[in-house]
Amino acid sequence: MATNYLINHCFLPPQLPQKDDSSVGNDHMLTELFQETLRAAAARAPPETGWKALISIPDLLLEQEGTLTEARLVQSMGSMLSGGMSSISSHLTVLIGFLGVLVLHIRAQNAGMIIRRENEAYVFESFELSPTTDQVTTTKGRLVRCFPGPAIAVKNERVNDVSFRKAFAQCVLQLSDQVVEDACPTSQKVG
Amino acid sequence: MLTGFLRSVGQPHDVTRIQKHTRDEVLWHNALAPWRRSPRWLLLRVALQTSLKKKDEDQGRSTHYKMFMVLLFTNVLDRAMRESISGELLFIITAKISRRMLKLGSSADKMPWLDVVKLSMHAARNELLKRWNDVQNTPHKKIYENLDLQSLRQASDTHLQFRALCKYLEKIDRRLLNASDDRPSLPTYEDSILQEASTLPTACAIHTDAGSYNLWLLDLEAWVNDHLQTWISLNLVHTPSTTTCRNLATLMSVYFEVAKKVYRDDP
Repeated sequence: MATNYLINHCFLPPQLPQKDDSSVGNDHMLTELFQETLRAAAARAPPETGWKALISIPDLLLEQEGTLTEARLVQSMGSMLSGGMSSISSHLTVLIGFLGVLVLHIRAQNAGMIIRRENEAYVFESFELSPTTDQVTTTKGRLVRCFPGPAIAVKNERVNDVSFRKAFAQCVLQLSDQVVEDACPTSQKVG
Repeated sequence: MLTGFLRSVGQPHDVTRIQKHTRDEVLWHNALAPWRRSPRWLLLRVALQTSLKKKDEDQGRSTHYKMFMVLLFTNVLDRAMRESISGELLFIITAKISRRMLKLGSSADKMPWLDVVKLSMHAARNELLKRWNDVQNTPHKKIYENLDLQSLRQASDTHLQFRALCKYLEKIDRRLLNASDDRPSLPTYEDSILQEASTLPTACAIHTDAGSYNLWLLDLEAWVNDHLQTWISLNLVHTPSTTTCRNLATLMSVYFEVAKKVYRDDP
């Protein structure tokens, strides 16, 4: 069953399931597959091809899906500063760390956020994940979308400040508790 | 809201954007919530592709990302083989992996995990072949039992005439065969402009010969026609930054320079 889930979402074969099959466990499995492959890619690539430099995953750990606390988010943003990486998952918001990048999945907001470290600033990129039901059903062929959406750069000194990280974490966690009507795609049955 | 909060402390930033052709479905039958493609899957791919693109810029268009996807798909194929998934699904997976390999074209040889992919694909093909042979060697009993050979009228049931088909069949012999080519069918111009709203064309692609001037102008004009509006709404309306404006200004002045030379004798 687990493999079927992976096949359905990776390959979109005919005869897809007819009802929602998303779950925390399934998301976790998909992430694990991704990280496993990243590790395999880094391990197999010969040094001269530059793959190792492209995918460096020091000490990557994917924790069990638990609750993301404010302290954890603050801590992992802090560890990004010192060059380390960590990955934290929660019921509502998931943080995945790879490629020196923090990835936030805010389910309740149907939003993804990628936090990237650049030379003098941190870049926060955010975008919508699932397109609206309307967009999906009315588009012929493929929906062409651009990623990411708005990007904001915040100076290093600011992110170094613990109180900024705390405020940011609070904001993220608050958002993961509020389901926004307009953010998540919904559909209505007729009749 | 989060972006609003961040905007108060930082400033808009120019980032590498990618354009994806996404496929999603909304399916439901006797269910409370419809089936949607996993948003996590999209998030992971976007995160990887944008990260790779940053470091990958001079090495062509997201080749590394595509190679990674082949490895990931092979990973799924291996799992499917272990769990003896149905033949149809196995076939679909192998078909999609082959298509991705074909798209990679000659750069597929440079893939560090080519042997792994080959091995899995061979294993899957053998498995499918084995299953098909099994089916052929053990025909289903029911088919025999239900056959009522006596009631068949062979002469009238097997004689059919297709007048339209005859003409078609005659043509087949006269048809010229094009040799099939496993290379990608479109020639790729390294320097041509990517026709996507995600990236602003650069001026560095111009060479000294006049032929490429013309091509560059044509490409750029097509891009402006099709994608400029989207690009503006993505990059300037929400997050105006000085570098974005500067890049756009440089492009405009280069275009003017080149166009002045090329279109000089044009009325």
